[in-house]
Amino acid sequence: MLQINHLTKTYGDKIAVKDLNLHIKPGEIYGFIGHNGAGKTTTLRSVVGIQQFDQGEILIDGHSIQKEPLACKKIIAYIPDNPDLYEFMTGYKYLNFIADIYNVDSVLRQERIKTYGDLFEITNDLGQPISTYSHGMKQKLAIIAAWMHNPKLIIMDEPFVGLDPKASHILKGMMHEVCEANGAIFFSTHVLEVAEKLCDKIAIIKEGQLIKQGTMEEVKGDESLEDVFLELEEE
Amino acid sequence: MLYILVKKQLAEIFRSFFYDPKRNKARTLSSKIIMIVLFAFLMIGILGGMFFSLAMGIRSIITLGYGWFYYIVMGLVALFLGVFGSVFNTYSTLYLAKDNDLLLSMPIPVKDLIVSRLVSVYIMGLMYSAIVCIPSIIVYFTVSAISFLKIIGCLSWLIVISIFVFALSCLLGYVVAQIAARLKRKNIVTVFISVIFLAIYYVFYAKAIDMMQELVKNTVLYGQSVKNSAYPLYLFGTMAEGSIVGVVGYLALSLLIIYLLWHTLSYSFLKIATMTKTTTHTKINNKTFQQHSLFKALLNKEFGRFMSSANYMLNCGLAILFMPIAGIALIIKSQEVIAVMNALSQNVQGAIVVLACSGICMLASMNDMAAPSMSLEGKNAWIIQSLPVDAKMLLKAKACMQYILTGIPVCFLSICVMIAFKLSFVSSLIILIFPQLYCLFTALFASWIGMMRANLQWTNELYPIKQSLSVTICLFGGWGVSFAMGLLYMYIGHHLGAGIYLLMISVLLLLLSYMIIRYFDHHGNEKLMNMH
Repeated sequence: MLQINHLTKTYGDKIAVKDLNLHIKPGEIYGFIGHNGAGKTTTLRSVVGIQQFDQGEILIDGHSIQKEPLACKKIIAYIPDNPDLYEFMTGYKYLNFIADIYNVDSVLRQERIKTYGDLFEITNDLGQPISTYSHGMKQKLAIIAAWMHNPKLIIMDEPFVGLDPKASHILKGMMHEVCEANGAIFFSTHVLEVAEKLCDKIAIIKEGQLIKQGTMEEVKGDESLEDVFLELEEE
Repeated sequence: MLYILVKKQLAEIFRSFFYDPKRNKARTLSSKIIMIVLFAFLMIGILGGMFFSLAMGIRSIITLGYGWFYYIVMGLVALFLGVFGSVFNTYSTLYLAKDNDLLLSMPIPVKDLIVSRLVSVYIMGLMYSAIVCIPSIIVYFTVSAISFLKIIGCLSWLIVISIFVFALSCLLGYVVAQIAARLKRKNIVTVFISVIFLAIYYVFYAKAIDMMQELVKNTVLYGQSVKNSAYPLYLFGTMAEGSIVGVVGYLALSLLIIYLLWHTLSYSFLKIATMTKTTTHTKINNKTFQQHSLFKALLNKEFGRFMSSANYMLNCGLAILFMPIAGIALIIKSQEVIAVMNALSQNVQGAIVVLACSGICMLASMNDMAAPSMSLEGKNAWIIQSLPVDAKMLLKAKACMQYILTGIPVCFLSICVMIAFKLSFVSSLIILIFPQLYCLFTALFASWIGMMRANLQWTNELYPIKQSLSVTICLFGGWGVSFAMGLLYMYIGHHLGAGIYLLMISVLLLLLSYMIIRYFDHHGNEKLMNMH
């Protein structure tokens, strides 16, 4: 589903990501962890094609994000770490805008907005301007928008930040549903307990380089993910 | 506590001298000096000089022994400028301050917070009124002898005016805050009020010279009339000339005003600053989930963005209002305009059609909403960058918004021109079609330059809207091109005749438009992805 081959990205003299290789198969939930400034967001932004990179190749379902960006973007969805949405729109208008872009028909969009709006308990707020939303509500709206076109691959940067416990639980369920339908999830998080319970595979990045990746068992063995992460960080 | 708050308020007022919002960092020492010198030049040199000339123009009133009348006139000008300049500032300083929530959550006495905000409002009002008052006082003493009482008088006059400005600004700011808190379509009303203010300003400005001449001619008549029927106003003038009664009376009145203002604000400030604002709520109906094409979705987004900001509408779309007004005025005043056009055209054949096209294009150039549009994506740019949207589609949607918002009023204005000038069929066709081609080109050009000069790193939307290079190029470039088009015809183009001359320009505009579209097709995606 997602192949990242030899990805390198620099900002001036600073190497943000160096020769990163990562493969995600359909049906996998792939966690991406690392300290602040390790290169997680740079990698995720490169994957969704909103940031140019210096070297390497990113393939989504066989399409290159550089050569065929539109083909790639049609099957993915992205939720950034800070959901800056169009504040001049209402929740409904924003979701409709996204649905229009992905050519989701009226019946289907209405059904999905209703389903996910009710799940996250924001249906009654969707008529309000986004400018009046709290951070958590914006995050919920960004999640609903991401699920609007039934994407094959969902990229999320710190998706649980700002969500209440119930919404976090719902999101985890939605992530599993995507994978059961042969989709894939690639997300970054600082909440190691969540990563440990949720992910099929995990990658740890430090100073732009992958220092460990694999299934949860391969990465942590008998230890807790937190212990492994802290040990690796200290090395 | 109060000292810290006042210091913070003053730092905010003069922030632009020390901080560069475009680059989001502190200015260098040389940049700070340049900013302060430029500001001083603008305030003292240009604005001060303007009012110095105005005061010089009516100083004969002083020599006639009506110095008090001179001070009334200049005092009213100062009052007008002060209130006009600081009413919206008062509203935003008192009630829209971004740190209201933060400061109110801290153990700060509310009265300290209000006083610190009021000091800031007072200083702004004082700055505006002093631009008129100080030159007026200087001019007064070039004619009248200096005395201790007169100095006390004119200083009291300056203080009283600044307090009146302060009180009126606070009052109007309070009214604006009350209206804004209750309105649903706040942006449209803000535009409407601003346009009314602008209209009053321009009417006043246009008639100022005539009014001043009238006052100078009939000083004695108007002076006596004020003295007999408006004694408080007379006292206001005599205060500036050192009348003890005037000074004491008006200073006492100022203290009373400050007391009443304080009493009202301390009662209402918390209520307004913490008021939950009315918001619009979309009603769910069949249209809520209506499916649109990709282009229509992008176009709707652009219209939504434009309608969401009063600043955006006022600075980039004022011609939407100006053009119909100009069209109606043209029909009403057609005889006078025809006379002016005949004089301008110097009997050059076809000149009226070309000059009319040039004038319409000049007005249309005031609409440049596509120019800051890409920069206005700002922090939301990730949305459009991560969606499967072809950049050419986005850029065309931005251009299309500008074309629709400009093309329709241009069409109305063209029809008014046809009626006013009673043009022939062919000339009418030219007047209808040529400005539309110009609108098409300027919309595409604005979209293109907006993408080439996009800056997503702004902290206040006014920077892309008012101060970006793309907006400056579109506005002044449009004026320059329109003006040059008329001028070129008068000197060279008339040899070709209006039809062929405008046809050649039309071909050029279409060619350039085509080149811009080709650029969108080939480089749009790359440019869009490289915007950060």
